[in-house]
Amino acid sequence: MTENEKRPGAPKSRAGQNLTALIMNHYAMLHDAAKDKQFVVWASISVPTEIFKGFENVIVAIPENHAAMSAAKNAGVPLAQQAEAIGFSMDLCSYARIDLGTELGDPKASPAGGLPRPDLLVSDTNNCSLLIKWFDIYHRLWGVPHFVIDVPFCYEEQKETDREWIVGQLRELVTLVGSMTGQAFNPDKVKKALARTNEALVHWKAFLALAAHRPSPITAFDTFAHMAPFVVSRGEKQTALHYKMLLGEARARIDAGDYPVQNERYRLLWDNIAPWHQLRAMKARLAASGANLVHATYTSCIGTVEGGYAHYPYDGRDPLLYMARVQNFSVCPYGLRLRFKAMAEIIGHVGIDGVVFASNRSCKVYSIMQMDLQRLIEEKHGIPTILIDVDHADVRKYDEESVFLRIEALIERIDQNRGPGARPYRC
Amino acid sequence: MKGFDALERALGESGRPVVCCFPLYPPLELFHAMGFNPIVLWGLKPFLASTSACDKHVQTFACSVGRHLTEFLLSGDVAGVDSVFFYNACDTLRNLPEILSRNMIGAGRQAKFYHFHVPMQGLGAGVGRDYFKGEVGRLASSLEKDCHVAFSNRNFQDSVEKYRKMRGLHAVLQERVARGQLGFGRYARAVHEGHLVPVEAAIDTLQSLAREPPSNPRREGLHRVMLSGIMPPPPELSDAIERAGLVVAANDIASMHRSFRHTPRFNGDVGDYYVDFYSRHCPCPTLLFTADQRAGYLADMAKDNGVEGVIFVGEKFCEYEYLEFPHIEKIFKQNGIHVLSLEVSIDDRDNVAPLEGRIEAFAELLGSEGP
Repeated sequence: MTENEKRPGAPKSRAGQNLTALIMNHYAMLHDAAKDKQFVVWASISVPTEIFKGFENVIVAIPENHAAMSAAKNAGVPLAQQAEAIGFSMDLCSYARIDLGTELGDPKASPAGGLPRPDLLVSDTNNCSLLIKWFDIYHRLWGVPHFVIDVPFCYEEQKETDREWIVGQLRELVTLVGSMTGQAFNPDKVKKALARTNEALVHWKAFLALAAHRPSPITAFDTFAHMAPFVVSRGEKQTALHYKMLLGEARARIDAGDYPVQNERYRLLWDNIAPWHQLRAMKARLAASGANLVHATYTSCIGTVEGGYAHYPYDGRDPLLYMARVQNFSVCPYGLRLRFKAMAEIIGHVGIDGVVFASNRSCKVYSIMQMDLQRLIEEKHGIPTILIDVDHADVRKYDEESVFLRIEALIERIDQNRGPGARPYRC
Repeated sequence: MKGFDALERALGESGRPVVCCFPLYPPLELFHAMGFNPIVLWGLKPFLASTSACDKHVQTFACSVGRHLTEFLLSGDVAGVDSVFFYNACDTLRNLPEILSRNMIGAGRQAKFYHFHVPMQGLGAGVGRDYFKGEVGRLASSLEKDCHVAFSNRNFQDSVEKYRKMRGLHAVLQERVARGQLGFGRYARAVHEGHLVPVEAAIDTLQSLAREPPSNPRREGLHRVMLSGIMPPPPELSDAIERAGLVVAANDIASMHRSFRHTPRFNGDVGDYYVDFYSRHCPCPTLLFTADQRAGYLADMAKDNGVEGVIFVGEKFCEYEYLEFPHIEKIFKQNGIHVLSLEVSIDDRDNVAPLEGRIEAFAELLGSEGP
């Protein structure tokens, strides 16, 4: 067994242990706080959850995170099957099926015991439009209000009128939460939360930038796992501390010459949501071939806007205006031009030998346009690409051998491009 | 069904530039008033031999609506497409405009692309209403600039009246279908051809159809069903429904009744017109803010039309519809209405026998309980 193959089973780093503790504590806190009658919000991943810090005793659960975690812990399929048994089509997003199966079926199959019942649902069209229908199911079933943040699709830089529209909705959300909780909104607390998020993102972006080092001290798999604190506990001190720790560890790995793929020969970019059920297996098998997924569009976009690579910082001013502006952070709902820009920025900053486009049956908004993106990347950057079939949380729709057959073909093309005897880069 | 030649002839004879629109509820009156022939790209399968052009750009897990409209615009078989309009819809269609634009331009076809954003939080509140009126105004200004034609209230009013007439004829024809005087399949074909021709030609076709003598000799013992879905069933299945002794007494097909139910009054403000158009639109899963109205609307429609059963015509991969089906199905069953869920995929027109069998079994179930 090579050094690279041993690594995935190695003991967790301090940041890894901290991540586990942080996530376990988060889910325990959710259940405990709900028992204490705190106000529970279910929010989708693009909702700027710092806004809820303007109130006391409002806790936020993210169903997508719960679904991803369930898939990563091999609980995705049994939960999805519970939704399918109720009548939800297997063609629907596997996050939605896992979540619906958890909440409408037996939550005991969930690694977190499901989520506490919400008092308010808040979704966001900037994730995907499907999510609105998914939350609507709970809204109808439990009689819980469902607030939709409507974000115009991101084909270009955010227009002033679009920003005003989003700010108007955030004001309505503040009014709604205030009326439901009987509290006055404190914008200063939101400013503090945004400042903490800002600090977390400074560390996060510095962590991601280390991928430019050859060999890379990080993998996209690290970024998939460690995006969780940003998703579930934005605006908290512990999140900023976590990313500081993560950055410190990655820097220390460079100093120690200790890399996740020691013999890194192929630097790959991943385009789509993480294949949650394959993190360890895919990382190990790639590493055995000297390949490292050094970046992913899914995680690189966090902290940026509209296909940029640099952090878009909080200026300490109007929190609603800033939260509206950074609604365009997520790469997944971008149009083709901005998706290409985001990938080109990564290629320019990090150095990429090949791109793996994960065509994800559960995420049409992320996947449809990948065939054109493939052509664009190959034409404009001369970088070979492949399109593989994946489902982010339903392992039944994944075939490892087919995927690796294509990855091997990608590696062959990279070698061909380099020519005989060519060294890929200086280590 | 008419071929493309006939449809293109109808478009060409009108002498107006063509704007291809998707999804289903675009501002047709505005485009018409600005001198365009707006056509709606929906249900194009009967006109297309394959999806070979689309298959290079869109994965097979996209719905047939998206794949066919991509094929239509990229295959190069259609002459005279001057512009494309889209507004925000599902997660598949939102990705298509730039794919289309890039590849149409790549093929030397310089179509202009227009869009506006319909607030999915709803249009009732002040902020959403003002924002959307701004979107409509921005679109109108773009058209004025590009077409060198000034917007005119009089032209808009004339266009509104044409579309009102066309939608009114649909109500008459659906009533004839419900009485068993007109075959549903025949009506559906006329509707889908109507999406692709000038409104004036669509009105002519619908008027001719309305003047025809009743076509169905069998009017007794028919069981009344409602059809629901984003598209009507393929012609073979529509025929099978009627052969099985079912009459389509109520229609919740997005490209049919949902598209035609409401035409607002024009008060001199085009922004107000479209605020009314969308905010009072027939509930549809694609208009997210209508979600709370939908179950009640369908239950009332079924009751008002004496429906015994509902046939869901599920378009494979349409996430909007499929996330609502279990809830809607439950509501109908609670009201004692039988439900048949069919799933139609892109290839199912070539393989309808199993679906025909299920329709026959459903008709037998309704028959066993008496009309």
